[in-house]
Amino acid sequence: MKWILVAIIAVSNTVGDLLNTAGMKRIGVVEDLGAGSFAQLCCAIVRSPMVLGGIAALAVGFFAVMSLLSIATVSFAIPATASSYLAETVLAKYILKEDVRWRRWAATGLVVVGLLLLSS
Amino acid sequence: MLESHIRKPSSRELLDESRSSPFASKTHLLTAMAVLTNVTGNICLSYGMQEVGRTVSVSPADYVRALLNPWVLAGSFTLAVWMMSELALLSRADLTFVLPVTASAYGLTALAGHFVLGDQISWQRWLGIAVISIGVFLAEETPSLTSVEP
Repeated sequence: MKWILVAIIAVSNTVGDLLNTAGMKRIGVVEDLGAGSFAQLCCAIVRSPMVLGGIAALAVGFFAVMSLLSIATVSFAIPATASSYLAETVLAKYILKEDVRWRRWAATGLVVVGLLLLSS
Repeated sequence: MLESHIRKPSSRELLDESRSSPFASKTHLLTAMAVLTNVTGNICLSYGMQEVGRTVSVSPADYVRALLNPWVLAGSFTLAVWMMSELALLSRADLTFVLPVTASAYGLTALAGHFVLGDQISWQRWLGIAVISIGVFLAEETPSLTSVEP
């Protein structure tokens, strides 16, 4: 059961993060996070199908995380949710056209290794 | 006229600006906010869900019931703030920058889980925290923004 939930979280996180990144880049640069900018950000988000889709995907992942937290410790559950890191990095390079060089690959790889150790 | 907190500069302007100190400082501030709200939200959520008990269901009603727990509610609200911070961060930084940089939240969550919730941390997990930290520092060395619009 734990691993089914991890798979659900991985897929929904990947789809959600990619949609949110693409959608937020189209909305524009958020300057700060005061009350005014929160309100503006909310208005911009409800007008963006991409970000709404991304949030919906992450919401599915969120409820799966809640379930996972009810049957596993937080030290297992939270790192297990980062199983999508490598897929997101590859897709961000080729779909979002981000410049991913050796430092970011190494950083992502180290984070994944660290998370596997954290989940052990 | 209302002050606008969201700008839409040209791609070239934005990429040039992303290398400036003020832009980088705001990005770091948002990163810190995202990390802290992520850690706090997950700890509150975990504590609350342990109190609620096993909740693996396709029925939304079960999750609504879980949200009645004050810790689950506080955790969910804090994670909503985390979500907004993350979205703000993604508006001004690459996903492949944000992912490793905010991974420090995992190490901090494990530490908080140990000191607040009594989770055991084995040597493998301590090593994991150290390895993640190296990854975070390495990612911080890269430019935060390389792609504006796909």
